[in-house]
Amino acid sequence: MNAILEVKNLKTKFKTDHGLISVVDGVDFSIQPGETLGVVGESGCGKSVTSLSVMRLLPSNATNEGSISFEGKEILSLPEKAMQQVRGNDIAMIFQEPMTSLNPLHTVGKQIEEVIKLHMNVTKQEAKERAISMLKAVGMPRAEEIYGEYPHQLSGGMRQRVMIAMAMACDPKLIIADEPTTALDVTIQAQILDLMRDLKEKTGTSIMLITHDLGVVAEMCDRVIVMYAGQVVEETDVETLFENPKHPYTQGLIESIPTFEEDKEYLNTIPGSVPLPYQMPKGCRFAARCSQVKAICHEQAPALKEIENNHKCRCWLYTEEGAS
Amino acid sequence: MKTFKKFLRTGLGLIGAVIILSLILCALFASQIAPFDPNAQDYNKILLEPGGEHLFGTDDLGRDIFSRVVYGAQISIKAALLSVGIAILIGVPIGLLSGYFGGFWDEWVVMRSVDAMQAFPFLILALAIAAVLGNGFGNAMIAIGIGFAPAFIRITRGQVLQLRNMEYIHAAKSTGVKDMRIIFSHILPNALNPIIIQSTLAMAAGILAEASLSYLGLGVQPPTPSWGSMLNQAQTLMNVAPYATFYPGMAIFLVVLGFNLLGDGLQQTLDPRIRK
Repeated sequence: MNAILEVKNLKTKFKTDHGLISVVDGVDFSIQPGETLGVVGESGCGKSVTSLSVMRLLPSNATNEGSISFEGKEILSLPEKAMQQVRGNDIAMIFQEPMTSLNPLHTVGKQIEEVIKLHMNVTKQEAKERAISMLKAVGMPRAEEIYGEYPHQLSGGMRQRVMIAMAMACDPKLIIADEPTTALDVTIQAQILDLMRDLKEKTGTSIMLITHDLGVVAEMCDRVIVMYAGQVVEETDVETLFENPKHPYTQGLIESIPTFEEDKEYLNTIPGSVPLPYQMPKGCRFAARCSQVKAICHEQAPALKEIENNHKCRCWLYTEEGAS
Repeated sequence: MKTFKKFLRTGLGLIGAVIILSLILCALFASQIAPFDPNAQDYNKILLEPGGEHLFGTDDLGRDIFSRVVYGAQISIKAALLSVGIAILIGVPIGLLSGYFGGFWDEWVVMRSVDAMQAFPFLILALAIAAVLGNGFGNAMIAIGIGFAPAFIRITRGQVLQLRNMEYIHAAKSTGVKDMRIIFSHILPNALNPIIIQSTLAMAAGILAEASLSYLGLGVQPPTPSWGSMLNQAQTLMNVAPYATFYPGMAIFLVVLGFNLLGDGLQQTLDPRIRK
């Protein structure tokens, strides 16, 4: 099958006071048409930077190496003008903070219309009709009225629906959702996830879902990549990830999900924190926090290898060198 | 509507608004309010004391000071609007572009020029520009406008730096909106409040600067009545006719006070940081 998005050996570096810092270091993944890919990892592991690289929206002190191809088009070398045609039209984005993702001075309708007018050849009236029908599609009651309302008149959940309406307005082939439910409370979270799944089934778009909530992953995703310190450490389908996690980091993440069955005083945690980007260890980046660490882990960095069919893992435990 | 009510409650801001409104009315209906032609000379009535037919007295050419002060309001309004208008036209676009695109031009060309300009005392700068451009009201306004522009560049740029990292700006970019449209349709409206406040404050300074330049003979040319030029001509008569300097001076004082109060009032209503 032809992947809609294919990222190969993506390296993102930031120019800072500490020198050139590598934030994303050799990330590979692909997304198939109609697939939902989960990108999991804790704060600072490079999830958002990866997604912003795909949109080419990184700040100017960042540089990208490697390749990101969207439907065979190389995005990293696309001129800015052509990139503006891709944004919102082919690839759309949903942001984390619905409270601040809408311009407070424009009406909801005007903001949805702006995308439609940019990418579709429509008249004013058609744009307005489409905006209203998009508001209806994301389950907004009284869509005609909300069209003329300002963001501050809407609740967080409704604003996130507006963001989704904006993202879906031009039938993009890929939607990047960067923690779309993190800022919402639990019941609204469930509604928004349901909505995204429904819309995905109707339109067949692919979704790249960035989250640190494994519950969201279990509910939404077909396949998952787990990121740690700017690298992919495990990649597999969602069932395997929960039933048979291989990487000690993934195992730690899954163990730290609270469950109702066990009556424990403390939740499981992974000790330590992510190494700073300018102080990356020589060997495996997770070695200092790993419960199954071996001598080789501090010496040499492991590679991402296919250890089973459809299951990749970056760990010495599953190699001959590590087993000895 | 809520903003308007809040503004009414600021008290001082309201007083400022009333002063400015009276100034505008004076300027608009100068010919109805003024009892005499401001430039008509009457040698039988030189240096009359205030009172009677001539409310504020007459000057050394027998011109009615009250009428001249009333007509002077027109020049002051023009000075306030033109100087600030020019400053906004220069300062706001530069501030927007410079702040949005950043980099070498922003940091080393624009901001360092602004620093250099702001290092001069404002009046010296305006004087120098006016001297280069030549005498006359229009040139004086350009000089004052250029002198005010750095403050607008700075304030606009500061707003842009803050706004360009807002999530809704990223969101707009992620839908493919072009840079220029982001700057003028998404950032500018959100940056407007401090610019409006700065404008009212600058208008006070603009009137003052026009008065100063006219006083020094670089602004309005006689016989056109401007408060600054009236002061200039009356200063030699200080001993015999102190009222000839008092009334235009008072007018300048009141209007500047009015604009400052209006600016403070607007700031209290529009600035969320001091919103109660």
